[in-house]
Amino acid sequence: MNDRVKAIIAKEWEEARKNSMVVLTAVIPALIFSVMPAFMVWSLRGQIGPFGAIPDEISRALFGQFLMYFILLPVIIPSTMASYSIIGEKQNRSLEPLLATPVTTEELLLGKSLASVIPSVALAWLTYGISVALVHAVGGPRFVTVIWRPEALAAMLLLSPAMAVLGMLLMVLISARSHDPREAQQWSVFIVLPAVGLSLGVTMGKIPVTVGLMVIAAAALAIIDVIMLRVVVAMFQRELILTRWK
Amino acid sequence: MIRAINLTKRFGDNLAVDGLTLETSDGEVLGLLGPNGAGKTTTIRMLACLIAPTAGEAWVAGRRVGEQNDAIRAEIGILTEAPGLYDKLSAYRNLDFFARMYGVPADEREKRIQKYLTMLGLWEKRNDPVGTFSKGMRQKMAIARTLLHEPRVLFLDEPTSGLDPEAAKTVRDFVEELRGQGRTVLLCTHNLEEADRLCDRIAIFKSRLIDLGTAEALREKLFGHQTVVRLRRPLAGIDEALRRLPLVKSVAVEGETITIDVARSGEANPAIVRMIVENGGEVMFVEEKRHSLEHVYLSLVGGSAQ
Repeated sequence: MNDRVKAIIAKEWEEARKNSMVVLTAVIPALIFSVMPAFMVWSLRGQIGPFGAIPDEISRALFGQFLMYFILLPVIIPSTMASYSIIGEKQNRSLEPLLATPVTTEELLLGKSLASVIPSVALAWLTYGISVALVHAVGGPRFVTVIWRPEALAAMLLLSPAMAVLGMLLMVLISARSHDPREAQQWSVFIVLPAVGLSLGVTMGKIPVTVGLMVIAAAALAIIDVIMLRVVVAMFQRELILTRWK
Repeated sequence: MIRAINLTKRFGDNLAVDGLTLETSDGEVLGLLGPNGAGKTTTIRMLACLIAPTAGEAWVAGRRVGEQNDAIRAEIGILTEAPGLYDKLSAYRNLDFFARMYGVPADEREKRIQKYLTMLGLWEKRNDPVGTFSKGMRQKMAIARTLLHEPRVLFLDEPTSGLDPEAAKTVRDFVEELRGQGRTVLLCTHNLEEADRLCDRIAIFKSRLIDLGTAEALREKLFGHQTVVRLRRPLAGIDEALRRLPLVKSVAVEGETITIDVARSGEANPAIVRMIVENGGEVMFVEEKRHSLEHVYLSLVGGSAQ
């Protein structure tokens, strides 16, 4: 990572920290998602009884929900940051002086991507840790085993960052063709669909949850990420952005 | 330092720049003067490697546009039409970010930021967010950003546009200082007084190059030299006598005022004064009539429109 990429990341973080909208759209979902698994456990506790084993369908449903929350989270956060990151430049009219520097398109996109993916994934992992602690507090160790197990860790460590990168790249692509952050965020609804689909598949028992599957899914997503990065670099045409953005 | 040959840019059916050919020398301030929509910003964007020409060739700082774009960007400074700053960041952080983008070494960054912020009177405000700055302060910030990497070539797009007279004067003084430092400057403006004062040569431009030369040469080309003589009282028949002089092209008499178009005023004026005195005239004043650049510009641009 060269100094230009580091400078872009530092600048993006400083701007994001000072933008309450970006901070709130990152923190509020994280807070909600950290509480949701514990809330579900609290509502299920009565049905199972204090010492009973957790039935498979409940375990699957719980894990499916968990997957949705923690794969969705690192998709939602960078999408907000990325939309502000690109469209913010457009609105500030700062993109022209930036593109007039020797920064390459790859450096610019890498800097902006990492600036949104790194805190998003870190926040998702932190939220996961908090939610595990809350589930333990509400449901005890037997519920914790549903979300603190190798499949969950594989999902968090591998699938989650790969999804975050995909979400961010799609958002950069959408932002480059949108006129304001709200318009870009409206389009971002489509980015969460794969996470919702995965969650439904697991809940309905259609997708078996194994470490192997998580690794394969993460690898497939990583390949899609690389292809997507190339598409985004190719579509991020400096001239079109400068002459079409008003 | 800047060389363009038949540089052309077309956006769909709109021909924004039509076959521009010009060349600047080292340390020259060349003014690009034209009305709104004349293609001045498009020309700067092509030369700054921000957009690609549709046709033609250009070289900036000895490098060819389209082939060595990153190297050209590293050697030029561009002041865009809008300052384009990060409002939430401080003045210092804005400049530090751009210095890093231009690859200014870490040990040089602070010195240069301090140098330019001090020069432009903003050092005391270095920790304030630029979102709180006035328009003039923002423009000064944008100028400081343009200079951070000590570029050899500068493109300044409407540097005083929308500034109050005091801020505009500071910016103009600064451009004059840049000329003194031997940097090549391409200055886009529709402020004629500014162009007259700052530019070594002026390119009158409206999608295509209408004329190019020093302000003086453009005036002379259009209007030649005019000598105005004021007499104590009207002198009958003097117009006929003056027309017989070899360097006089035409004579207009209005009461005590005689306006004479001459080929070379320095050589013609002694003979004119002698002729008037010999014919009994009493000369009160002799002055050379100087057409404003505005007059030149309107004649050229108006003529091109027709």
